[in-house]
Amino acid sequence: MDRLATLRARACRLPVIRWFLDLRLQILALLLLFLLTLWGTLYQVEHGLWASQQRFFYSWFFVSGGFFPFPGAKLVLAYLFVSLLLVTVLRLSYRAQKTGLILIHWGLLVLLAGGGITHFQAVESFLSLKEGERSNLTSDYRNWEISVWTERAQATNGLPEKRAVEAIDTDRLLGGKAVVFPDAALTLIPRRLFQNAMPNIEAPPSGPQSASGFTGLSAAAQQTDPAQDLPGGEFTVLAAGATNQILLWAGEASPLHLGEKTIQLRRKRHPLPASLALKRFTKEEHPGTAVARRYESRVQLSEPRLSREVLIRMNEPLRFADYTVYQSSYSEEEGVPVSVFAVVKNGGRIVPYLASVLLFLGMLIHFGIMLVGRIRRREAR
Amino acid sequence: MIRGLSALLLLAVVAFASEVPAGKVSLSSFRAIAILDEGRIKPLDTFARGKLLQFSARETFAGKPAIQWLARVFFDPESAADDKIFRVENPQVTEALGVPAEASLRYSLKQLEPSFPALQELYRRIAPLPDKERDPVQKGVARLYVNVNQYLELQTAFLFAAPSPTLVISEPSVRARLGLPSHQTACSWLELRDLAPNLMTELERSDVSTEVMLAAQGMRQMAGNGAALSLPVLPVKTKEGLRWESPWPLLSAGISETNLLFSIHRLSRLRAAWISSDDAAFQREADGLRQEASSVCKSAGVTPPLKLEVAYNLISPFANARILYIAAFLLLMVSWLFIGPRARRLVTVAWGVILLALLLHACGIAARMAITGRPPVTNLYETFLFVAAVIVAVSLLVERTLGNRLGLLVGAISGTGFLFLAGRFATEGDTLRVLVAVLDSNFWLSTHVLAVTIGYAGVVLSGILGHVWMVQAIRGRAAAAAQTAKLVYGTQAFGLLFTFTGTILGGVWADQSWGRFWGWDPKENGALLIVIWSAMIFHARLVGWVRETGFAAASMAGILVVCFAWFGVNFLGVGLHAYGFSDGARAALYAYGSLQTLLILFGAWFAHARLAQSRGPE
Amino acid sequence: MRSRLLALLLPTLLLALSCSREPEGVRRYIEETGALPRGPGARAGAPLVQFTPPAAWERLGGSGMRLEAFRAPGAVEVALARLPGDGGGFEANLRRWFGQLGVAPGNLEVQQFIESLSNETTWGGWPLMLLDLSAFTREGAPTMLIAYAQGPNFVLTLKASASASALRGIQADFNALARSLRPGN
Repeated sequence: MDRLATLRARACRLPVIRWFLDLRLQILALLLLFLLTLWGTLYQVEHGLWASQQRFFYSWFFVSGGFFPFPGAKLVLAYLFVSLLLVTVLRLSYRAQKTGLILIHWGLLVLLAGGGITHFQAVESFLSLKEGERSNLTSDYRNWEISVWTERAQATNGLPEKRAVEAIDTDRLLGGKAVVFPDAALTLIPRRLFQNAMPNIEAPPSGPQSASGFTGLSAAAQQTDPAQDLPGGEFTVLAAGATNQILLWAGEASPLHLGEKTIQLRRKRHPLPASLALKRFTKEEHPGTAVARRYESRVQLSEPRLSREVLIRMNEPLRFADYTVYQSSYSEEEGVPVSVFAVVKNGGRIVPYLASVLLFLGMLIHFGIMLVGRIRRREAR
Repeated sequence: MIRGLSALLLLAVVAFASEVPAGKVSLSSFRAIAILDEGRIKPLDTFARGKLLQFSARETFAGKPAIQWLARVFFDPESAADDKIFRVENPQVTEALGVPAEASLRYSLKQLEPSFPALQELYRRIAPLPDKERDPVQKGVARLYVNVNQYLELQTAFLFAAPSPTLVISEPSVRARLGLPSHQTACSWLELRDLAPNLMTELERSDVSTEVMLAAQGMRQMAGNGAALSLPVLPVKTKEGLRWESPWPLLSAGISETNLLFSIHRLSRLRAAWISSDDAAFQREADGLRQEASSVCKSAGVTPPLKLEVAYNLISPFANARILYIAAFLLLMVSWLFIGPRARRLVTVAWGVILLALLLHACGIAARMAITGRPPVTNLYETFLFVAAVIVAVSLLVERTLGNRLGLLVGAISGTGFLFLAGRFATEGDTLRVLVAVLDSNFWLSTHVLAVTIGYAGVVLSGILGHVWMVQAIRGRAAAAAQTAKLVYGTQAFGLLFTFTGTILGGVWADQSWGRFWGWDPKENGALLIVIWSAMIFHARLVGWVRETGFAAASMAGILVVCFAWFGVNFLGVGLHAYGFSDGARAALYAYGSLQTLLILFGAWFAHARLAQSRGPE
Repeated sequence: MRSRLLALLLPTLLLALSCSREPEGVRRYIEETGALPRGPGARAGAPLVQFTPPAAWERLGGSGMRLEAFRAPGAVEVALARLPGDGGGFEANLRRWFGQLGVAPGNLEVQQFIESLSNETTWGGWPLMLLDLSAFTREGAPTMLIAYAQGPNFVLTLKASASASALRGIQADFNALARSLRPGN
């Protein structure tokens, strides 16, 4: 026991560790976090939530005013996390009296760690289904892919038709660097790539071919939120001994057919370990208004071993495996309702809850002990 | 003398709460008639207040309750058209319309009438612009246009029952054949509708009179105009639940349900009773309408607490609680002028008054919960009510432990202040309005909002006590200041605890509702700012960067942080809830922010110097 | 010494962590083809319909059902309108346009004209018909170019009316604009 204490005391004296244990530095970090939060909130007025998150909260550093580097919230939080960890391990006295404080410290640590886990591995995507439709893929909000598949004859056995797709993320593409899709025996060479593109309807008709018939693409100004960009590009395709010049653009609804090969630039697809079919969507409005009171979707969830019907509604998401499916929005197509789900894959979803339990327990015990102490003192008097 | 004063105060409350029938019929039943408005079933009383507030930024007209004004608009539109109720703040709007400016900023329908074509034309050009892109003049024009249109709808809602100059049948023989009473010549639409077969026979006659032809034409025209007039006071039970029908569209579409037609005739008789000041008949018809509607509602499983809402409106718990808070404050002020038993007695009365105020205040919040069936805090207005109640309650606890009038004083001041602010926000419209789906009741939603709001109250109370500390320090009362400093510390800890808890619970709610625990959204950031600020002060105190003065000053600054978290979303216009910040409120908030900063800086410096002086060199 | 090394190491480690995502190659997955691709739902303020106007055309703005108006070279006004549902049906609209031109072709003639129309789709994947009504009007009299696109729960019409010669000058641009119609999100 004594050896542990000496070890802890010795560790506290190490210079780097001293930085992390310095309360004054920690307060400065809190001040920085305060400023960043304030600044990042004000920034949202002009630039929106996404840009603010990227600049202030999900960055290690950012440059302000074109010149001055400023630490991002990620760095400040990482410092605070390490500080808190070291304080908890090296400084905190582990006595029964301090149970509350110990739990609060661990709770905060788990909370910050949970934030980190979510930040580094959670994937957000969406799925919009019309009544009667089913899908095993969700779409990304901001990332795009080029997908290639081979058209086959319709399946007739009544099961949902399936196709094997090969895809590459557009942000992995480099101009001139060939990408080989082995199953489709197709090679794609990017010629020109645009983050945000607009078809050029005045291009000569002899230009490269596209699915919708335009023959030229030109760059468009990038939006502040890339979710609103429509990327595109010009490619050379080598397949079945033929060479084609093609244009792919995210704004097109239908894919380009090259013989029996089909190619499309579309939102990045995330496969789910199950498929979802929308059976019925219902919406209830406050009487006499267009304000929705509640809306909900009845969904058939088909996992490999089990198929079951589930109800997804506001504040009552569907959870399976690491996935959570939320009712997010709705629209209508040809009079048939379309339900939009937000899908989040987060392996660390449970961590903040664990942290909350630790924190509440800690606070309860801490203030309980304080209260008991006060009452005893009063009685003593 | 003291007993007399408190009796007077109680009397004032009773006078405010009791209903004095003004005009010639009592409106007590009429005001409880149900109407569907903005998705909510509410009593006509609330509807009237809402409309008047929307048109003229006041809940009363010429000192009379809104329901009286609404009755005049319904039943005697001719005289109501002279009421100056349309508030136009921007003089450029009236200038553009060519209306001579009024010092009261309020205009009557008659005054605006000549400018209707101009208003229509201006609005036609503004309509395509989204609200955000409109400048203040355009906003003013759009607002006036909407208000005038809604007013016209109200004004014409009962015209089916009013004798109309376009429906005149004067020839006695024709009147006799139609079955009309002989004493009046102008008929109402409903009257002629009931005599439709006779009217048809009359039209088929070879010697049909011009009057009859004109009347038939007039009826068709009025029915066309009325087809879209909405006054949804007639509930109908359907398979999906309740549908609310309006008299005019029913009539012009050719109504067949006898019970609805019966209710429409009731509305017509209601009007007649009002015109002839027949109080008994008026009560009978109003009660009849209420009972018919409530039995239909009950059969559909809906029982809106209309009576409770009317009582809530009449008692206006928050306005009266505010008066009591002010009274308590004055009593305390007076108590400082005396010493000995007299002062003590005054303090006891102040205790009683403030407790009564808090009781009224709490009953008001409870009534709102009962009316809406929702947790106590769901919109900005309610945060003021709730924060005020929490601060007053905590102040009273402080008073109980210390007993030096400080808690009472702070409670009275904050009760007055926050209820005053709440009153300013009540002008946004129906404060009991329906919520969008995501904000509808949910355990995590309610708990996190309550916890954060209590946290706001704690931090704000700590800041107010910081002010008290500063006054004491400047006056050189070192001992008293030291005691207050402890309170500043304790309430700050209370605030931090609840804000932090609320922030975590908010994360849980966000995860349940949108799938992420934390997203750096303005409302989340606001709460986080309070937590960081508060944590920072406590830690700064640990390393000795701040002591008594610094802690008090930082707590005072905490009020500014709370302001940002509380109104930031509305103020900055980001997010979903960006309604409700007029330019005036914005300027006021800026002014307050700057003054508060100056006060903190100079006050802290001065207080510190005075404290050092009074404590002397150690 | 050691501490300084550590101090250097830490930020490097953090930096390395932040850009350690290896570019991966082609992914493979199985797609069930039971749903149409769609966007994440309409964003508040986003236009319902997007299009790409020809560079030489002047945009005049629009409001309500009239989404946009243009001035094409030769002072030809072109209007893009959005009608809810099926817009009253294609044939009814066609009759309406004939009425506006003051012509009344026989049923057989109209049927033949409808059958002669080519079926295309716009960039947004909506069925599109391009109509040139000059065959029905006298030489020199005003005539019309119409594009008729059937969206999910609305119809879009793009209409230009002028003399046949003026319309011939803008026809290519007109058709390109019609083909560029697509959803706003």
